[in-house]
Amino acid sequence: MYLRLYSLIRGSCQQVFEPLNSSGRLIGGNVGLQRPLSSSAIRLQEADAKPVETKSPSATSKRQKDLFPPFPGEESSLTWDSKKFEELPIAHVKATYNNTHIQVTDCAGQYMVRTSCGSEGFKNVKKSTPIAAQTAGISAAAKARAKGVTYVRVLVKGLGPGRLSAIKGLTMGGLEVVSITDNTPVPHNGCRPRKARRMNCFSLSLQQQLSFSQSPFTPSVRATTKHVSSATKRDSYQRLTQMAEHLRCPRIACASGGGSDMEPEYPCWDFVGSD
Amino acid sequence: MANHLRFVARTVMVQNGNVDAAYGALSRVLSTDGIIESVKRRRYYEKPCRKRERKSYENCKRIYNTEMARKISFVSKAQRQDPWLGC
Repeated sequence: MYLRLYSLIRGSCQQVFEPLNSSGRLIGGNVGLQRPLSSSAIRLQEADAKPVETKSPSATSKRQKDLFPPFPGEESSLTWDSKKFEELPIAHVKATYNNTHIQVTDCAGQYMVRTSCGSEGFKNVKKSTPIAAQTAGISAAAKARAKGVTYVRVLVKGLGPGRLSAIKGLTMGGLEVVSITDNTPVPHNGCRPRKARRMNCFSLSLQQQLSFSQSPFTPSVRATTKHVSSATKRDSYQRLTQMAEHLRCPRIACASGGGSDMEPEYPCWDFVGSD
Repeated sequence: MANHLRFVARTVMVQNGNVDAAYGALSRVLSTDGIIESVKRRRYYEKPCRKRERKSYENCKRIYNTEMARKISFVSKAQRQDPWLGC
């Protein structure tokens, strides 16, 4: 049963995947089912704590196993083009808000191919489009194939418009994507980013202003007719906290209910970057 | 992470060449871990007073939503024990 399943799943793999007796994989599968929070970190901690368990071939744990990559220390019989997972070349995709860069390197970090939306001939605003990222991916894949690369693992950095379409471009260009990793830099309160961009509230459409007045978490109707000042917004927060205290009591004041569509962002300066 | 757990954390394997499903799985994992929203928030600096306001707002909203959901689920219960059983 195992043989048939894995020969179906790993179409390109030559060897048969043997069921592993490792604790990390199984626990990772079970943890991933029960608690979706930070599955990877918890899995590693529990891998050290618990002893080796016998294999339990359930369908869901196998699917979870397939989602997680092979550990560098573990022995895994998964190979791509007779290369282990750690030896596959890496495609770095840096998806910024204005551009997308793609660089293919080998496992040690030696540079092989580099393309970006700008090197494809796009200029200025057209670089920050998914289509440009796709063309960059196609050309990068073509150049990498010329250097003899077939299987590649993708490392994505940043949340930009070209994040998914660059990977799509790589597959369209002919490279086989083995795994997708997200390497977006998350500082633990490191450097201070630039100041918040503020937009003039007059630019809010009339519809938006009307929608503001319908939910319980808004400034008063009087304020929406003119420029919404920050003072009224602070009042709305105080009313919020009061309302939360009221909710401790059995009766619920608001009739519109929790199903009403509150405005997408909390009432504050209309930050341009936050969608 | 950049160098710790380099290809272990935040990684999803692609099955059957289905890149879209793998990317969707990755996005789901990241958003449940709260990474995507924290990255969006860190794009511009959020002053401490705004941060406190936002946290209290989210707290109140969470309380309100849970209470409302409780009320709705209670009101929409069709089958319940007969309180007058035996009378």
